[in-house]
Amino acid sequence: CAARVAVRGNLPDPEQVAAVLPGQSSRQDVQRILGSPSTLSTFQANTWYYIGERTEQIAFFRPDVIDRSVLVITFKDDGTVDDTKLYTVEDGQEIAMVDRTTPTEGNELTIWQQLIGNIGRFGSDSGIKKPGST
Amino acid sequence: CSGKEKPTYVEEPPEQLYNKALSELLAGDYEKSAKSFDEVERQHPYSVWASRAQLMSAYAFYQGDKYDDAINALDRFIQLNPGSRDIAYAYYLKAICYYEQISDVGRDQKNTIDALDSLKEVVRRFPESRYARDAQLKIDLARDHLAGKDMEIGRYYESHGEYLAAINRFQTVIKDYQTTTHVPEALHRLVECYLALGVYKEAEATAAVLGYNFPGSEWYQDSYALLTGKDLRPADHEGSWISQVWHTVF
Amino acid sequence: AVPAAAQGTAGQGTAGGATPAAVPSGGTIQEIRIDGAQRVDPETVRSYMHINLGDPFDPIKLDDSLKSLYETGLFADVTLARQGDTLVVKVVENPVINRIAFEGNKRIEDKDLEGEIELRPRVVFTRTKVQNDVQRILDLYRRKGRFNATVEPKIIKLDQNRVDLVFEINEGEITQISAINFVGNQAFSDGTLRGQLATTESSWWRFWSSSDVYDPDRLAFDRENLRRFYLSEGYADFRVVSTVAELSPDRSSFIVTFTVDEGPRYKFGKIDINSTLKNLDPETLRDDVKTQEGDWYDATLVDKSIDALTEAVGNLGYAFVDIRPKTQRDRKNLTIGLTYDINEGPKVYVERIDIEGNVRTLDRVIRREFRLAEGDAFNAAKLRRSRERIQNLEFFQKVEVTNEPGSAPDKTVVKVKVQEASTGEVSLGAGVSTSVGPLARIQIRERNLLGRGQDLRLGFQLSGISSQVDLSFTEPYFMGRDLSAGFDLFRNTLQGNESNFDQKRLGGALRAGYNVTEYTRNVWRYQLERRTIYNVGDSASFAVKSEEGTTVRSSIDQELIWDRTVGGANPTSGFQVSYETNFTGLGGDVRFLRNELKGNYYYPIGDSFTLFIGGAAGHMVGIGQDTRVSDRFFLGGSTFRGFEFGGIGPRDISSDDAIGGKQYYKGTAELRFPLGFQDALDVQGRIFADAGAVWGFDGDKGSAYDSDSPRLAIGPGLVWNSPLGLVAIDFGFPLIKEGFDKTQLLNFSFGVQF
Repeated sequence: CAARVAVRGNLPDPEQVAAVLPGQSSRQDVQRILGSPSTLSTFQANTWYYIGERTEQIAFFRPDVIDRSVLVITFKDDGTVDDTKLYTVEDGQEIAMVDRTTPTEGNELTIWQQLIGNIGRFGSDSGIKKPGST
Repeated sequence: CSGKEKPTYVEEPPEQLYNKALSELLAGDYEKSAKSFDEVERQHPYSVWASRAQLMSAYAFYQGDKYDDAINALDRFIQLNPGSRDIAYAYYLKAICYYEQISDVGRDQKNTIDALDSLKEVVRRFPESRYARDAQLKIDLARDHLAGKDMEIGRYYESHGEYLAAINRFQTVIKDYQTTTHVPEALHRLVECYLALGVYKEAEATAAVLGYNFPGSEWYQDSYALLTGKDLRPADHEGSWISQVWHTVF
Repeated sequence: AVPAAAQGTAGQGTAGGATPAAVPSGGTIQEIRIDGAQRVDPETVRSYMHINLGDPFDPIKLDDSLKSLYETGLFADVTLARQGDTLVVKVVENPVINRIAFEGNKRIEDKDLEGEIELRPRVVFTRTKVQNDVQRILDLYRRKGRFNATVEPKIIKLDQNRVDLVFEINEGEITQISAINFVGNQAFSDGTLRGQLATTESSWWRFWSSSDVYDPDRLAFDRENLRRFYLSEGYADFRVVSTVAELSPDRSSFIVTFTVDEGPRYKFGKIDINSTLKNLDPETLRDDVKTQEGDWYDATLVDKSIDALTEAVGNLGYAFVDIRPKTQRDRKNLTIGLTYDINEGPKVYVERIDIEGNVRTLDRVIRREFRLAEGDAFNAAKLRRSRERIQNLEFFQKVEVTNEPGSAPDKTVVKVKVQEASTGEVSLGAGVSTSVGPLARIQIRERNLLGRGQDLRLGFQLSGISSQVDLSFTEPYFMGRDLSAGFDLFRNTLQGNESNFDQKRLGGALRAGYNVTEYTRNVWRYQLERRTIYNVGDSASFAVKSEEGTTVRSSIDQELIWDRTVGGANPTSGFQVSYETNFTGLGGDVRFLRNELKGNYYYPIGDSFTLFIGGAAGHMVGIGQDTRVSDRFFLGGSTFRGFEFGGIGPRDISSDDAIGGKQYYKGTAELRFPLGFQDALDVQGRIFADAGAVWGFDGDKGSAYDSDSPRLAIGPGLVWNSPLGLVAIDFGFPLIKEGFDKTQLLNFSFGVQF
């Protein structure tokens, strides 16, 4: 049975990647060739990321990534390309997400409320409310 | 002409009507009390009781969970009596009406945004009033709530292997909601995503910031474990502007 | 939100700008005196003015103050005057509304009218707001089809500057449409064209619908419907010349006439594809193109081809593709050539997907329907597909998916606005059928439990000879995957009067289903059931007697469905094939293997005829033990018209009871046609022929009649999809039957869901 192929994110062709020349291309050249970066580095200011992958999914199984490219372009302070690094799917690690989450407030909709349709109050104790109480 | 019997239109002196409404309010009969306060204002629009009754009717609606009616009554009061001495309270009560309708992070956050706007207005207009302090506290809670929504969407994308989408969402939490309780988790999730993509250097830098700013947090232990026990002295990455921002914030 | 009282244009009195403040300038203001302010306290008036003590008498500032006082909408008139060094502000307050009443409204109640208008008791009265409200009431009546209604506002002055406002309404007659005519249509009959319209002619059975009311917007929408219909039938030059609605002589209703110019009918000319994308050979996409040279021109096929091409090119990795059809119209030999131009679309990426309005449904339940993720390449076809999938959830009244420019020129933000609909249903059903007798069913269902997209259904059913309770729960995305999983619990009892034994069944099942491809679905089901047969009459068949007592069945069941039908529950074209395997014997007392293969084929003939050909075959075999009566196949009643339920198949000689067969095959041929009610009444006639046989049983061969020779029955029937439910009546005449078969001429079922 046919697998569903999907392209995720920004997957530039090899020629486009080759067109980015360290030491010569500037930020504008990179922007023109590859478009806006998929994401910036969280903490390194002058690092651009182009992340894209092609996945194949059969029925309900998890889509398996057949090809991924994580292109990292770092710029010198004068704005020219310092270095480009390409990570592929082999570099990826299988990570198990921690299932703990930071608690949040908010009225969880209970079955009873859904049946009678009104949504209760947020962050206040029951009984007579005096405004100003958290 | 219409079937159901209209409330009897009886002229009463304002004080009597007002006290009747007040007793109904204290008895917890909020709906009737709100109606009686409205009656005071309707029959005696020019008496000194009228504006007082308007505010009390809003308060009664609020107690009876009728948020929309309370907000409408408060809007009218604010528009008619911008100079009254209770104006600060009116703005504050309106903000509380929105605040108490905030729904959980999985759902539409319109109420949170409305609450945030009206709380900010309370702090802007009446910085010294006794409501400003509580409003500021609620602003932080509301912002924390909005950060929670971005985290929820980030976790959804991460669990579906959409690491790029997840990274962008967690970065929004770090950039726009720096003072919320979700930042440690956002940092750890970024470590998870970067490792999943194989960008080890970035994961290391993120974990370092997490360790530096939240050394005791469980999230840091998770990140530390993820980076397979490497000794992660929080070597400062001077280069990044966000690191500088950290030093200013903490 | 600006409080209602302050909206609306400047107060009455001076229309437009305020009178210029004719106040001599020079000198400073020592005192500001406010005259005439009764309700609004002077403090408020001062707070709206842009001038205060100690300021010079500056005309511009005075003018601004004047304007801002007017904008509050609180004052009928404001004049500024100077007495020495005091600025005198004389105001005349707008009256306050004491009560609002409506007179003469029969069709629309006061409550609805109050909801529609803006003015409320205790709100400030201005003439402009009254005019707006009059217009709002007229719009309400227009939507109800009453175009000649009139509304007259009356004002009753009261003390303390208060007024009572009375809207005197004269509703006028309802303007229905008595006839819809067409001029200039040769290719299609008036009836067919009427079928395309949203507006319908009024008739007695349409007492509840409002589609027969004259509504100019709906007529404009109908022009579009006609154009789309003709375009899909090859009339590329079609034009609606005019739509005229004149009042009938007795002025009670409208006669609508559409004048159309059909133009010639075109065929597809040469079709070719060219693309500017690197290393993409256009010919490989040839089979995605639905438009074939020589076929009749059809605009919808062009759109479908574009979708298919976008999908195909997208899968080859070209994220940004923009496909435009160029037409070459050849008027001489009436052909339209098509060139599909595939070229690089703008490089745009999805920056963020924001979902708003989901007050009850969780964000992820909507987000998981999206074919795009944040950071992906923006693709209009995928966006449209995502919108369809969210719509198909049927959780929302309205789904709007728009995209707005993002933070960078090549980034876009996708905005999803939904409006929740009520997804809880309490449905009552009643019916009568020859096999079960009178039947009543109550079902409570919540399709979007707790906003998590899960489906919970609880049903109670009571009929002449059986009672049933069933509960079923389904999670469409089990563990976040494209895998729908759920469980069912059921308990039903059956007092079988034909085969005089009672039966009680109690059990539960776990099931999971997934789409193998776009049109093929595979469902797996594990079921555990405790079945008890009791009160077995002494005249019951030997087989039934041997099965008295309690048995436990533990079975695994697989069904593969390949569904290419079009037209939902009542398909008009396409085919469906399903293959089911049931293995009972994972523990428990009963062990058998049962396979069934079914196929249905619908072939449209002309506009409204449908030929339905169906076939089914089943085979079961006991494993290490005999098969039992209640597991075997039965034919008859609605599954084989002309025979009563179980009327065909092995029959116990002594008790004359049907005991079911181990194999069966069955074929049906049916021609469905509309019964001349201008297909308005949605009644379909049908002539059918059922053929097939059930045979083979375990146990003492001599104790029952059995024959594998085919039976045949033909006859006419009627299906009315009435607003109250499906009514089916069939008259079956058995042509070939066995001596011991039980026939039954009339078979009907009347199920009502309200």
